[in-house]
Amino acid sequence: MSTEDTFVRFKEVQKSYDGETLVVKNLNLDIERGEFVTMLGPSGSGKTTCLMMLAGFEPATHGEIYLGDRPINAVPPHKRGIGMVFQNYALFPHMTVNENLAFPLEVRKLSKSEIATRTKRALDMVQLGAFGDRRPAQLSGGQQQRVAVARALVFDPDLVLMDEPLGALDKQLREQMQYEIKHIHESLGVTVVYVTHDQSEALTMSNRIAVFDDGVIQQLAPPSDLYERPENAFVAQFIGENNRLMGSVEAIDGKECQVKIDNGEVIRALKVNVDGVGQRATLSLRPERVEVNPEPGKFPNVFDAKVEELIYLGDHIRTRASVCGHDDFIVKIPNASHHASLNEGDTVKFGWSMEDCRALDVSGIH
Amino acid sequence: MAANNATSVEPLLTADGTPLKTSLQRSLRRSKLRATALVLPPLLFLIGLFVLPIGNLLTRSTDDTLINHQLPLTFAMLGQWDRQELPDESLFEAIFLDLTSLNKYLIKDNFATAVDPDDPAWKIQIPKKGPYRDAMIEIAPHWKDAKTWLLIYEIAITAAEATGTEREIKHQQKRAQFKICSMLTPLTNATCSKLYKVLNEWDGVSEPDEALFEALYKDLASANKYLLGKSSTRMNYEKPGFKSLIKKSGRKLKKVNEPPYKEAMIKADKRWGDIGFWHALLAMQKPQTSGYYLNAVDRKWDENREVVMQPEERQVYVMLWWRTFLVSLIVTVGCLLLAYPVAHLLATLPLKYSNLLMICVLMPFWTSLLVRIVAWMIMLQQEGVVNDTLVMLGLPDEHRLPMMYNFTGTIIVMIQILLPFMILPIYSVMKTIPPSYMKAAQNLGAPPSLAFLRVYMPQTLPGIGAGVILVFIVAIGYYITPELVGGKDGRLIGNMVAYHMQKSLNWGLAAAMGSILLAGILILYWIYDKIVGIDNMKLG
Amino acid sequence: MRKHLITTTLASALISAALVTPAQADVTFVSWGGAYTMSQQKAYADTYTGGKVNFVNYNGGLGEIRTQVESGNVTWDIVDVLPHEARVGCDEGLFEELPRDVFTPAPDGTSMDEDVMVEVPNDCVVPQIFWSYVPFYQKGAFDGNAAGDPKTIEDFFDVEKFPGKRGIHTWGNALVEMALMADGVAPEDVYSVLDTPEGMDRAFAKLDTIKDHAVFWSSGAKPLELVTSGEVSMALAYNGRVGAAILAEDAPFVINWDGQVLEEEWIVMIKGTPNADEALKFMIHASAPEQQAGQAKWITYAPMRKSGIDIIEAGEPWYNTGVNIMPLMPNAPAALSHRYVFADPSWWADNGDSISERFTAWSGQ
Repeated sequence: MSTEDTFVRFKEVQKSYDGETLVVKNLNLDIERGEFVTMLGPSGSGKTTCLMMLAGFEPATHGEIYLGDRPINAVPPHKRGIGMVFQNYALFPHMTVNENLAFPLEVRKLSKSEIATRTKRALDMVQLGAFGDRRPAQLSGGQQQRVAVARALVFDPDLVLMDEPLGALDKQLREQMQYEIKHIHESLGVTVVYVTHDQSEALTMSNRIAVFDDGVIQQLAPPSDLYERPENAFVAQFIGENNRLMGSVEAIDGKECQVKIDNGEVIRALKVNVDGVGQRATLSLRPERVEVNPEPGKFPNVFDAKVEELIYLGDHIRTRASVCGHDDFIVKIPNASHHASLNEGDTVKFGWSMEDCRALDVSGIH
Repeated sequence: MAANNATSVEPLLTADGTPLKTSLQRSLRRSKLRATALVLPPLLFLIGLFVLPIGNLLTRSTDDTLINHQLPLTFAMLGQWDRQELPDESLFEAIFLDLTSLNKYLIKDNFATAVDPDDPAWKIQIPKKGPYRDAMIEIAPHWKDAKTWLLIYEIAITAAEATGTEREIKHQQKRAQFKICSMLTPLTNATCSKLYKVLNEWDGVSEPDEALFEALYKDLASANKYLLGKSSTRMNYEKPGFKSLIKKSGRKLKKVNEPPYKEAMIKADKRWGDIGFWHALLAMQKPQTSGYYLNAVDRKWDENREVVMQPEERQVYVMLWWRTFLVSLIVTVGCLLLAYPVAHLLATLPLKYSNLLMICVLMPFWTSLLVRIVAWMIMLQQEGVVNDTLVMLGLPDEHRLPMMYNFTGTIIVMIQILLPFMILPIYSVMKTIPPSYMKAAQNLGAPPSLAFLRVYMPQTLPGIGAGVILVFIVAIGYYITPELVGGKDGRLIGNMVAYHMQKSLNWGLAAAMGSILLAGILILYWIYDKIVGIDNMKLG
Repeated sequence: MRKHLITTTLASALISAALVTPAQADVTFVSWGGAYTMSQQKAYADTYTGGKVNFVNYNGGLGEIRTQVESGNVTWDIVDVLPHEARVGCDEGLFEELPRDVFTPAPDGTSMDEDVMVEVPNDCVVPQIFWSYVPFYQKGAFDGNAAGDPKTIEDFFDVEKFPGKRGIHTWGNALVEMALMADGVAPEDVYSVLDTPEGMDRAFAKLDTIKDHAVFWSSGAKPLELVTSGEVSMALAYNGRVGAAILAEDAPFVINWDGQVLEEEWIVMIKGTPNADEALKFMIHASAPEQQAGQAKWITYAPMRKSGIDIIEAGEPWYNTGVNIMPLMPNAPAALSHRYVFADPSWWADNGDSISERFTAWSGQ
């Protein structure tokens, strides 16, 4: 799947710290020029290690990393020309903002005037033009964040790495910064590799998301695909909310399959990632795709449900019910006038389509 | 006006009508009191153990009042002397009276007033065997009045009425004897036992009789002897030989009863004919002296009160100041060079290794200083482990390296002893520097060496500053270790302070050297503040 | 919390009160520690029936004594002092002046003060011991040397005929006297020569001849190590240290008594001690000829009293291990048959500071 435009390429990369376990298992990843790729995954999934290998701070145990068409395994970090925003920004506390920004330019031996122009341009880009003489400690968290971004970009790198850069900010600021980073990326056309464990951050900003787990990329896809069409149970579980029903495959019919879940009911589902008849499978169903008391015949899957708990959340009502032997079945009912109002203890019917119910593997579930 | 509106607002009241401010103050008072109570003990501790001793140190370093009390007449007349030739009879008479008769200051009790050499009272000789009363009243009429005696009378009878065990009573009485003497003389170590006894037999009202005056005379005379002893020690600092001269004269001049004194004194000891001793007196003439400070830098007053160098063979302090400074500097730099990588290792190694290393760093603290020094002796001496190893490796036997009992030994051992003081503050600063700074710097294009110089090291400056100041200050006052391992090069300024404190009892000179050390350290501190900034120091 | 504070204050007040007036009248004897204090313990305290004696160590000097007396907080009773301190302390009123007729006379009726081998300088002091600075070397160190073994003080200063380094102390006492004796000045003229500037220069000129061969020591155990390890071929040391090594460890040391400088050691009572009566009783006991001689059972320092020496001589072998002690006594007739000087404390009182400075300047060049 390598194309002309491939800019960063991980080829069969493996990484082990102790010689016994692999933190990154046989990673293959191509990132296109100008792309915003997010490595998303729980902590310990290997995403940060990949970023560190790309930045040059960790050597790959096996395999090769290419930047453009140049293998960079043997290139020390300071010669890679990659910008990076660190988790806690790593702004040099003994230098002013201007000196921080000038640092990468000075080590590249640019002229004084050139340094001044570039520094100013970068600061203006993050709307901190007036703060050049302050020290990092005199800035707010959000301002420090912007300085860190400006510093990573001031020497015009083709590739910028960001290691959970928004982790230390409060929610509102984080959302604001997500948009700013996205806009900077769009206006500069720089390639960004972004690491986070926050899925909404990943969904907001990325062109493509690589979902990491256990040292392996579970799925690499644009945000909408990832949510709509998870390829395995881990991704389905990790991205957004889903109801999980376990069972074994009864029959397979083209892209459809029938799964007998553990209380004996049979559900018709989309065959995505099942091994064959008789094998175990996980059925994944998004809570917002379930309809309450559907018109008869609208869905192939209709089951009795007993309402256990209702939680009022403003725009929707989160309903927990017992369905098919699971008492943690969640349904999101939009708070609109045409929707039925339920009471705890009611018995109703839940229905969903075959396409919304994806039959997946069982291995990715921890 | 708008501004007036704000101020003319009614004072805020609490629910029960008291002004809010009063109420607030009341509620804060308790916590303020508690805070004061907590601060008070350390504050007293600080004043008692820090401010007072330093004040005492500074006073001692310039104080020359004692000698002025001892030779009042002589010093009053010294100004009239031309300093060119041996003084004439009048000055000899003055010093004769000062040395042989009871010090008039003690009787006149006017330590503050200037001495008038023309006042005949200063020349009155009280007969050694009495009667005392008339002569003493002539010198100082206030002794005639019973009220003059009341203060010491109080002390005496209070002690006589003391209660407690026999030992305690005895102790109280003894202290009272010291106390009476310290009221009458500038001494705290003289005992007025005779006065104590006689005062207790007196009623406190009737006119003081001969018995009281006899006791007063005898107790003052014995205190006078100690004053003379102390004064002669002081005079000996200015001119070696003064001590025995005063002592010998005291014995021999007893037999001299009438003028001419000049001839008699020179006959008693020919040194009175040596103009050098008279010149030496000039240097002590003022109650406040800078002589100790001059002495501490190898200078002194000459007979024209001009600052001149000490004779060459006695010039030692300047050399010692330089040596002390040099040793401290080398030790500080050496400690820094060794401590920096160790501290870095400590801060960056995984916990299980760094803990082990930390134990190694702290180990010297758990070992007695002497044991460590002896260990170094075994290692470094000419027949020691290091030299034996070198010889085994092919160093010719006669070229064994002298590494002990010299400058090298001092430096090596002091660096080893002071190393933890450098490691710990640097380590504590390094520990707080996340590794991401170095990564960031490299990521931004700086090769590791440049990243270290521009990004890592500047951030460790507070630790370096603290370590350097700490080690330098400790090193500059070191003396026992250098003396043990430094041989002849091991004598530093601290040894001289100790010598003058303990052996020569020249506390004035010791205090002057201590003050210079203190000033030097304060100057260093000030320079550090100017260059690095004192808030930039992190002691741990 | 507050209650706790009050109890702490009370407790500290009680403690300081206890410091001012000690509960029991034990005599506190301050001395130099080590084998020396041990010998005093054995000879004086263990034979004393009048009460308990506590030994405390100090490093010499009058500093601590002066502080105690001037602050009125006297916790020491008896102190073992060097000759210089014995004089200055008495002159300045730091010691109690003691009645002289209470002390034990010699068996032949001579008063204690007359029985002491040097002049008793004042009424504060009570005799203790003589100790001396002596040159010594290790047997065999000069085997094969053309001039044989060193014998005299001249030999100590002659690095040509007797090669090897010399261990000397870092202060001037005894060194200037020895230098003059080695330069041919008769012992009785040493101080009058030193009193002249030329005489002083002469002493330092003689010291110059061994300066480049000198290894300096400042603690008493050091010269023994220096000689044992071979770092120096000859060293000056306190005679008691060398004697102890010979007696206790069979160290193969040879002492050259020629040129030795003997120093006095006195005991004094601190002024204002609340234990004056008990302390005086103990001092009378400690200065009696029997006890004076008894100390030499434990250390090779010599009694100041002639009658003490007589007791030892008559009682040989006197040392606690059953060997003769007289050959190691600095004031035994055999040792005094060589040249020797009794250090003159009043000369040192006048010149100690200037010699100290000059010696420091000399050794620092």
